[in-house]
Amino acid sequence: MNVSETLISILFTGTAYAMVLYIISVGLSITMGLLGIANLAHGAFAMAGGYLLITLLNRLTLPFGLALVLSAVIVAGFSVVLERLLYARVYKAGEFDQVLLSVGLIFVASAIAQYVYGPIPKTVAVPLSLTGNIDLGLRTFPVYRIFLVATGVAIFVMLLIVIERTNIGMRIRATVDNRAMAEAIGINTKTLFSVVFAVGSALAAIGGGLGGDMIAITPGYPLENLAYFLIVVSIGGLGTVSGPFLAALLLGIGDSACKILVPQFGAFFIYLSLFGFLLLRPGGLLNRVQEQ
Amino acid sequence: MRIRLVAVLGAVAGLIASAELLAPTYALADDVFKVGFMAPLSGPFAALGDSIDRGARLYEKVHGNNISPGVTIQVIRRDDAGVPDNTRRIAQELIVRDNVKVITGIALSPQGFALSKIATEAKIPVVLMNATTSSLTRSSPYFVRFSYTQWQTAYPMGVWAAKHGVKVAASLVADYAAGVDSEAAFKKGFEDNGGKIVGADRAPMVTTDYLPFMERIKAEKPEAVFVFVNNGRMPAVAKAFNDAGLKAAGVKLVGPGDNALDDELQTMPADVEGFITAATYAAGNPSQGNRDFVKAWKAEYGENSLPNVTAVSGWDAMSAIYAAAKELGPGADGAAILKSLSNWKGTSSPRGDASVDPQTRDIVLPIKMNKVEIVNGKPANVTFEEEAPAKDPWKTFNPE
Repeated sequence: MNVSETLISILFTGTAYAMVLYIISVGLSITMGLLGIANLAHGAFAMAGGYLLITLLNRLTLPFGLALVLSAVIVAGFSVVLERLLYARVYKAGEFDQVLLSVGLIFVASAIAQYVYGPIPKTVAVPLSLTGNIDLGLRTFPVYRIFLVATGVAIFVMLLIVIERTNIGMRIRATVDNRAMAEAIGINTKTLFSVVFAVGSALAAIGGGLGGDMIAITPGYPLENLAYFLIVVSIGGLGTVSGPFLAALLLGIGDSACKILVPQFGAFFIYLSLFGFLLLRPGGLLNRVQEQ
Repeated sequence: MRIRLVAVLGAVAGLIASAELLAPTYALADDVFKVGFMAPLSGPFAALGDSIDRGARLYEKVHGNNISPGVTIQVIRRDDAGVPDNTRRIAQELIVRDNVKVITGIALSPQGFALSKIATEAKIPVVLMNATTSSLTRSSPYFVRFSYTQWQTAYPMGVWAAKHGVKVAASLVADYAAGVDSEAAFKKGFEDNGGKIVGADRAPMVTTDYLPFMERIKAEKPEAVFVFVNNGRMPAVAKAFNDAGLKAAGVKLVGPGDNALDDELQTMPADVEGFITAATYAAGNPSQGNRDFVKAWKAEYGENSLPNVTAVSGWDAMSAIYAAAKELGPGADGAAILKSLSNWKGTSSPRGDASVDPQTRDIVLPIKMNKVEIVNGKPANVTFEEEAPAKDPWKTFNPE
């Protein structure tokens, strides 16, 4: 395989995986940056999105797009309930309590998933229009992966526009920078928290459903993939939408490069790069959250 | 007040003591043949444990009445979550506290190894219902295996590939004991028959995206790709195989039957069509023994449910235990039970002509060559070739 072919393979496979990681993790970055809580159960929302998508597609045979949006809405609604009832209690309680709560939620979510869906991993039935390969001159590419890349970029651009150019984006940025000051000038942080939490969870659900092809939906999902989501968030920095995007790209492409070029070390790359980055920039690439 | 408390406590103690003395021992230890069953019924290997358990329970339900009068078989079930330390602890409890005659279940090889010393010391036969590492039966003279070994499936796969026009092959396995075992077996079978391995990649067990590996394999231009991955990853592997253009180029996707289990196959996407496996069981096997088994299975677990090789191992193992209990009765000692188990012949086993080799205490099985085809809209195994019953090749190449 010559150099340009290898390069294209690496870039392409890495970017698709990176987009899935990004869509799931961006919600975590915002909630951790904005709300200041370590929500390790973020993967549980992605898993719920995946399972709901499967149920909606199989049982109710809804079209793919509708099922995806519906599963995101259901997960978002449920997450707001959880936020008001459980997370709100630990906002001021310190990281230890937050970690305990979210890990507990992971166990509960996994047990429910196992009870309802059984332990066998499930796959998402991708719509026929998105299957197969497309020939772009140089070589063929799987259509679904192109779709994932396009969706990931679209979501990134949308989030960027919302954060940088809208009123609510302004409020979010203000609250992330300095919560006390934001409250002082009249921003309703409580409602803001719920809205942001809901959107973050909805994105996780979308990521979980779209990525169901690559990251299998199993009851152990939240725990198995927790490390990857946290890595994207730590390297990317808390509280921004661009940080995780860069981090996910770096990780996805780097991971692919290692798997293709030196597979014996493929698994180590993610962790070595994590060590390296955090030694150089402990706050992450594009950190927004100031030390308070 | 004090006196009243003491009086009440004394009365309760007296009641308990008299109950012990007066009540007839409703389960005389000698009348009940106790079997200890341990499997991962929770945790990451729950699918495996659940399957073995269902097979065993189905046997108990269907044939539970086939015992001599006056003898009852009691199966004590415990969940070990796939952790070897749990297996050791639970086995000790079962042997010392519950007085079991036989231990069975054991889904994973590390769990089997953890148990070997205890089994040998206590002289309790262990009937392995899964645990596929070849050397396991040598780690204790009281181990009898009823499932299969990786060499029994991967080695014939290599032989078949070499004899059917594949000159160059690549392998991709999950990086753990069973995967590495499988890779070595395929390599031996393939190279011994004139083939050449051009690439042997090991993917970490946590891998979910196999496209980079398939891209790498594509560069080596193999005619067949041998895969063995951990539970749940096969759909991603098949998809990556197609996405990389390997299927379109006419490359064969081959592997051991572990990744094409009949029940899991039903929910896999159509990408897995064309996957050729060497398996020890196919639910579509037309033998009478299998048809009865599948019928009973569907009656118990639902019309859309299918058994797989691990469920059948549970069934066969339980049938051997019941046969031993029937023949020897509840007072039998470990050595006699072991002898009965080691000479088991599965006359109506769903797997066909299966038996245990008394020398190695390991299973002897006919291997079926299966191809995945879309049947009634869902992927299913279709057997196109069947080999004669064969022992574990690893033991032939590695004599004691």
